[in-house]
Amino acid sequence: MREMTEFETYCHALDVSPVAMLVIGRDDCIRHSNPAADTLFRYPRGALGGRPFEVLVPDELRDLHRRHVAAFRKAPRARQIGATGGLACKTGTGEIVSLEIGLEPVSIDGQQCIVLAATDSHERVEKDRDTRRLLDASASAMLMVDRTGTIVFANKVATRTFGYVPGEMVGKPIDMLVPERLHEAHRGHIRGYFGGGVARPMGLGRELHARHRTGREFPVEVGLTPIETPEGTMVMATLVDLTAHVAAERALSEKVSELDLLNEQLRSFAYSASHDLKAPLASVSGLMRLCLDDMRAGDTAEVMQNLHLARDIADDGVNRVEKSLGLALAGHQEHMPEPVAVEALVAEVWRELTWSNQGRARLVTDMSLGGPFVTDRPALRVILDTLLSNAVRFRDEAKAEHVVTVTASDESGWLLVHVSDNGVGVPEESRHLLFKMFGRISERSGGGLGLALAKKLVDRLGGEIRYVDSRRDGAEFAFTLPMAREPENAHSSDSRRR
Amino acid sequence: MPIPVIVVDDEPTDRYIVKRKLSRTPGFGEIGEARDGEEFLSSYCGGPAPDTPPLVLMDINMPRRDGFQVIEELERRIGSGACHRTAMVVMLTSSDRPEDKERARAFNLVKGFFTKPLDDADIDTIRELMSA
Repeated sequence: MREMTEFETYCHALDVSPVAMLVIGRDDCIRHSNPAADTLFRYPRGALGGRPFEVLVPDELRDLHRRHVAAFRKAPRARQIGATGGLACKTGTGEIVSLEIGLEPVSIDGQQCIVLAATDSHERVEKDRDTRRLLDASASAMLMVDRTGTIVFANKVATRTFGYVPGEMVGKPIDMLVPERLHEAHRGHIRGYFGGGVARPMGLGRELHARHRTGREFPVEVGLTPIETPEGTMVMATLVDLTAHVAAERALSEKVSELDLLNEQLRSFAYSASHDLKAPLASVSGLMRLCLDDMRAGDTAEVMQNLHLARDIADDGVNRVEKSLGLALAGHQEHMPEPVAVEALVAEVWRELTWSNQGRARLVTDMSLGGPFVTDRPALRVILDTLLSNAVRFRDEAKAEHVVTVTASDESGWLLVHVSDNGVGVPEESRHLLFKMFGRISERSGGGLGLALAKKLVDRLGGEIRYVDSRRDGAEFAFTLPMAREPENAHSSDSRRR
Repeated sequence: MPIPVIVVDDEPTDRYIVKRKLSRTPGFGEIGEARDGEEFLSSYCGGPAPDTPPLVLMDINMPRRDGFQVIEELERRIGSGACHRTAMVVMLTSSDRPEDKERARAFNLVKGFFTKPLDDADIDTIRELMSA
């Protein structure tokens, strides 16, 4: 058995490689192709041996090929070509396949040859495409940026988050995604990061903002990771749009303050209620004790009178409890808007308030409303009843006549009502108590619930109520209510009537 | 020597109850009343000085100045010399809020805190406070 030549040994070694490999002689002919090369170039096993290498070069690349060959002969050293694309071969079946190749000069049996290793760059493209698909499937926005601050990749979510169309962001500077005032600082951060950054969240505790295509800024959270690629070091930025998160947080903190306020109101309601509902009970108890002492002592002169007084106070207490309950519930009840004839309602309330002491007060009205006003009638009735009964109660005995004036007008869809009187007025130092629960400004005050309830109802209907400070003589209150929308069924029955 | 009393309360029934109660209890002298803090301050600081410092029963929840504001003003007037008299004040209220008790404790003039209606045990306590 003869000994194997160097060439044969070489070929045996190449034949077990999974990489397609050719040995090319000085005459540019293929001296050997391994099985992987036969498969890649689609030639029957061994068919390439002895053929000129140019059979594998597509016609349009012949000139380029020759230039490459000449360049290699001039400086024969190992090199990679085709990594950035543009290189292709023609297979035995006539297809064109893109390639990446490695070349290495070798000396075999004293002859200069070239060993060529070829890989199908199509596979790499496929792999890239798979990676891209994976990145596109991510729920986070992902951007790859090179050291010049140029975007080299943006996944689907990134494109959508920033308001661009697919492909539009690639090749553009990352600056366009950063608020303008931060450009300078951001460029510095990029330089610093490429100088040896490790994977970490961006901003380190600062609140970060990104810029949408429309210029709108939005809060973001960004993670940074350096990535080594054939094209050099890149930074992959993973970004989460926090707009919804921040809005939810804000809504939550608003809810918390609202709850705090409600809690405070509840606390003060509970204290006021316990104090002010207890007060009449304490009076009744005191009167009862007096009666018992008197009866024990046989002194019954005042017993009858004190029992009557106790009964009246108890009745008043019942009334107060009911009103407190009404106040606690106001703001939660369903409100049903309906057309209300305001002037008629004022007259009705006035009649009920003054039927027992006619002639003690005179009502003057000035109504310039085009027609009925759509609102919650029971609520408006309570508001008017409170203001009118206060106006009647705080009469100035020094004046010959007590006059209560009610004006109502339609201010572009808002009902504006003023209720004033020429009575004793409200001392400046007591005005802050007016709308407070159990806030009583004098002995003539009722339970201190009326105006608190009126205010709650006005608030609920979306209006405002205030004491008119500028008035010199008597008291004046003003409130507004927005015109409510009638419910659908009210409209249809109305139109049927017409 | 009987102790003069001043009841400061906006509620006429409550003034009446206290007056009747104290009038049949030995040891208390003339019982005056004021419908609010203003009336008390002007009549008390403006009137002639009594031989014995009076007992003032002070309500808390009153229109305009509340009981605490009245005591604050009284202390201020005594401190500045605008009022040449002193008094022993006890709160008499239907409130038993811990905050109100705390506030009452902070005043030098205030010696006690009682909830309405005043009963015999309360009166005994007031007597002890007066003689202490």
